[in-house]
Amino acid sequence: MKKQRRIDSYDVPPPVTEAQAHGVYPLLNHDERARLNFVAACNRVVTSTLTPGNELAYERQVRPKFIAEHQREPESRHEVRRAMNANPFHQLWSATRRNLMEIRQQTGAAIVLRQIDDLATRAYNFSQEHSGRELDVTLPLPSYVAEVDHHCMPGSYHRELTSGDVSPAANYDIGFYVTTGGTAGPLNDAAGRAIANWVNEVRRASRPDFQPKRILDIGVAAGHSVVPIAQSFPEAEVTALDVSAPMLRYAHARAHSLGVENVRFMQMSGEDLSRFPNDHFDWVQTSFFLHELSARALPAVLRECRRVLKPGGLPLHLEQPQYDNGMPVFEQFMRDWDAYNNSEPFWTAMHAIDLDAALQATGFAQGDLFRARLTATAEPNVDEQMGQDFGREPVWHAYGAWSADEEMAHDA
Amino acid sequence: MTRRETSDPLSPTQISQLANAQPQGKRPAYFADPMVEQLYAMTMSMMAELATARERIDTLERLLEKAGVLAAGDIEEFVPDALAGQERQQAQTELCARILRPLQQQVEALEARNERSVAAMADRLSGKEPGSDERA
Repeated sequence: MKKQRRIDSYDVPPPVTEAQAHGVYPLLNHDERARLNFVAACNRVVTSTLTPGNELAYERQVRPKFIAEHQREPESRHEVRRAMNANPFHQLWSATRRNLMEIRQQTGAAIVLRQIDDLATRAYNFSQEHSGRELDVTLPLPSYVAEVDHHCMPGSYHRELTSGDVSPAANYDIGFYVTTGGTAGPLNDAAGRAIANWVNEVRRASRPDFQPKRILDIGVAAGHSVVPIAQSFPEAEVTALDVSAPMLRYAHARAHSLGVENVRFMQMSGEDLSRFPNDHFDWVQTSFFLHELSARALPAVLRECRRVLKPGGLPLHLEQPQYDNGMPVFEQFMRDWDAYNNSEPFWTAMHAIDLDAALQATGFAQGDLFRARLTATAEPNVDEQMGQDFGREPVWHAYGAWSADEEMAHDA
Repeated sequence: MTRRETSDPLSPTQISQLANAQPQGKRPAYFADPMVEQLYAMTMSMMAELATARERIDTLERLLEKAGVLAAGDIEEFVPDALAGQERQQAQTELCARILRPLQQQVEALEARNERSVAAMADRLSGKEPGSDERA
């Protein structure tokens, strides 16, 4: 028998029993929890022990071979990818990571489907007891959502197998905890808390007058980010949009079960915010959303974000870092893995665009652009020994533009 | 509590089919041989099942200890008697043989005990010329 010991911080990922349940959290039986624990543990082994092998394979095998064949260095992440895809170590590593994601999806789907009606009923009951949920069955699902099963999840964010279905969101929620190894906290909400903390720090430092009355979050998904923002700004009226009805039902119920009342969840596309007038919101934001947009939709969403934002308001988009500022092609290649192996087709193009130029194209001044590095390093489950999990570690970049009298604290 | 209208619960077969379904988009190939691809996927799933079974055993041990059925160290210090030891090694051997069945069958094929195809056997046992059914 193992010795009893108090575990203050994990050097292994926490078990899924450390996640915080809420009003629409799925019930997990013993073996379901064990399978999820396996996914988290195996991901950690892959990240800490195996992922560094890619750089070794690149430096010792792939790059020298490429240079010998071409008499030059690889010049793009695509050249690195094509060369690495022929490397046996990388093949095995990549196959392992892909299979883990497939196992994660199988596990999550099996959990939520067996209780699909119970979950729908729970969400429905929240909708009867609390207002603030506006679904629009007439909203067409954009093809860039409908035709992609994000993260290898059949049916992605939006499939409805029963009336009032929330199963895709419930699956997303339980899987998020194990894929991130608990690094986003018991409610998977570290990113939202990091955003709220950053805005409060900037307010203290240089913008005491920023008192957002209206906040807009586009692509709310399960509400992991919007809930801590709404909690940090309880006086604000928060509007959260998504095209997926299952996500909105779940996010609404989850928020209310956590005691958050100041969010209105609406089924709407970020490409068409015509229900809101110009200059309506003090703060317009997305988190981990831009990379889900097609190249056509992205500028349209940014334009609408700009239109509904008050002059001097805060636009903020949280993402993994862009492939710029001289990021080495090998790191770009590693960060690109999800694009080619995890059904994130727009990830590679989105991370390569000139986001500054895209923001300027909507009317922001170059001098107002900002980037901020946000981290979840204060999380109890985050430690330095985890190894770099390209594209998934809890370090994010906030992109935006904020015109001001005072100097902004830049921290990119 | 109000109950909304729902369809019938999904059957275990439906759940299994849906949960095991593939996502949209062609699956990337990681290995030159598609068979290796499949075998590796099955190996990873076996890994998940083994991890799950081990966690269940760990739960049992902890519950038995809590209930006073087992004392700490009972399992580590357990020494089977001669008969139990033999039975357990028998079980270990059978498990290995089951898992290594494909290799055993390769050895048998190398020993030429299995050189004819089943179709050729049928031809021989029916007194037909080899391959005559396929030409018909």
